[in-house]
Amino acid sequence: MSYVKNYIRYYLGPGYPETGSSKYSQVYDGSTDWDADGGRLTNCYYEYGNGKKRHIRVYAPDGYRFYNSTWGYYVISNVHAPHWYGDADCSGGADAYGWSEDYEGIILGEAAADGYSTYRTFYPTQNASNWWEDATHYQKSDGYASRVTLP
Amino acid sequence: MPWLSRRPRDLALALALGCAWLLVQIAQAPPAAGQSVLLDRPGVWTLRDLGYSDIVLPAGGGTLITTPAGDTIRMTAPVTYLLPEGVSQGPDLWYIVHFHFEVEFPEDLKGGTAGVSSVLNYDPVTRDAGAGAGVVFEPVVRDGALVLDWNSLGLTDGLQTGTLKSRRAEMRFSNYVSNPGVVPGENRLVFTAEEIEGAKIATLHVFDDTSIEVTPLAPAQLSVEVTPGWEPPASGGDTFEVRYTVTNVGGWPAKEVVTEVSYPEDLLRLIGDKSVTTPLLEGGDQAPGAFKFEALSSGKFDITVRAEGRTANMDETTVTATITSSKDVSKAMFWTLVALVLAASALPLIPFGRLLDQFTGRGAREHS
Repeated sequence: MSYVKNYIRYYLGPGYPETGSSKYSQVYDGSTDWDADGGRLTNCYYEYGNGKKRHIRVYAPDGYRFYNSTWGYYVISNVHAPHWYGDADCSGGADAYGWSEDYEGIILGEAAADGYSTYRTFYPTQNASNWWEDATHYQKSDGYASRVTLP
Repeated sequence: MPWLSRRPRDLALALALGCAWLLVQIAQAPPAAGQSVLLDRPGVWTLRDLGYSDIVLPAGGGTLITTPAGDTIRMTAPVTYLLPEGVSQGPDLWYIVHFHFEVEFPEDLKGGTAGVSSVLNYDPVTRDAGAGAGVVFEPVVRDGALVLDWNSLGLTDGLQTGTLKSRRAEMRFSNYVSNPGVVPGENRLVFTAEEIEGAKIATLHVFDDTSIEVTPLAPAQLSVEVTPGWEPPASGGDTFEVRYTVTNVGGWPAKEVVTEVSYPEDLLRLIGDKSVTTPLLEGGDQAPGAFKFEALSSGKFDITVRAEGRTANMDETTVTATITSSKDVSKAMFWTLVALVLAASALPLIPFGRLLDQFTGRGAREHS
């Protein structure tokens, strides 16, 4: 229970076989660090006429985890879904990205089905936003981070 | 008969010493079986003090938890102790676990990730628990030999890393317990061997000087201030100092405190080192210093002083340096000189004699 990032990757492994492109996040909990993570993606699946994958990235400073006396050991994660319109094979580059809130719920459902404790509105992140979109991105935020507790 | 007069005193002394010895033995005696000790004041309680001896978790032994991902966590029987009503992790008293153990890995260890942890109040339903101190091992092959990279993270010592070249190691780690590990009433401390992706731990031996410390020392916390009275430079080309003070406003020592400065490097020239390291900053102590600059250009520039410790948070403060150009200063001086010259040239026109007479009254008397 003293490590998280690699453990999360292992937990995601069977259903998330693909490694994604690295993105960077500056994380702060007493000290500031940039971390890069490519995350993991599911295989392509076809739903509502579009090819989709779920993509989750995990961020933590050196040591692969944060620690504070309130939450213990933890990492920060985000999830979104690249979409391929009308393409059941997800070939080439994705047509659109986003829907993070929807896929956050899906990830929590997966974790709960696996027996992990989840909490949807665990922490207010003060970044609530209404639905917005541009040519390739579709997003909104309920202003809360969820929590998945691993043993 | 002098010995008779001394005898009562000697007897009283012997009795007092005997009682004192007896009281010490009672105080140091382990608690009776099944009786938990109440930790109700600052101090350190070892497993011995709590009524336990060394705890050994052999290969495959302990309470087995299998995670949904198929990994195993093996857990010792709990060490129990009591905490008072209304207890919490801080702000007045803090709870630290000092974990002393020896771990041995099997000869056929090839990969995976293994963890050794001290855990408090594990809930098998929610799988939540209070985190204590622990370490993660990752076997890797390096130069043809299997070694074990390890890392441990906590609030007492920050991030610690190392590499074991042996399959057996005796280690010590400490950490402030996370909130679920500090509850009123009975608390349960267990020690776990976590075996992920095929890693195995042969033996985990927890020594009986593993302890719980109750302390008024809060985790280290840094605060940076720029010393009041800092004077910005007058003009380009001048040198100036930004004086600062880093304070550990927590109680626990902050280790390896690095204080560094950031500034526009094309407009200011730093004279000296960009960062200063203080190996240890005790709780309540201060580390003053100064960064010296030469102004290369006029304008307003932000200078940020930032401090961060291995066992403490990061804090920073930003000040703005206002630098006047040398041309601006020359212009001011020029017009000041012009004003002085004009004033001086008007001096002969001023009737000083009459003014003096009026001041002293001499003129008035002559005319009376």
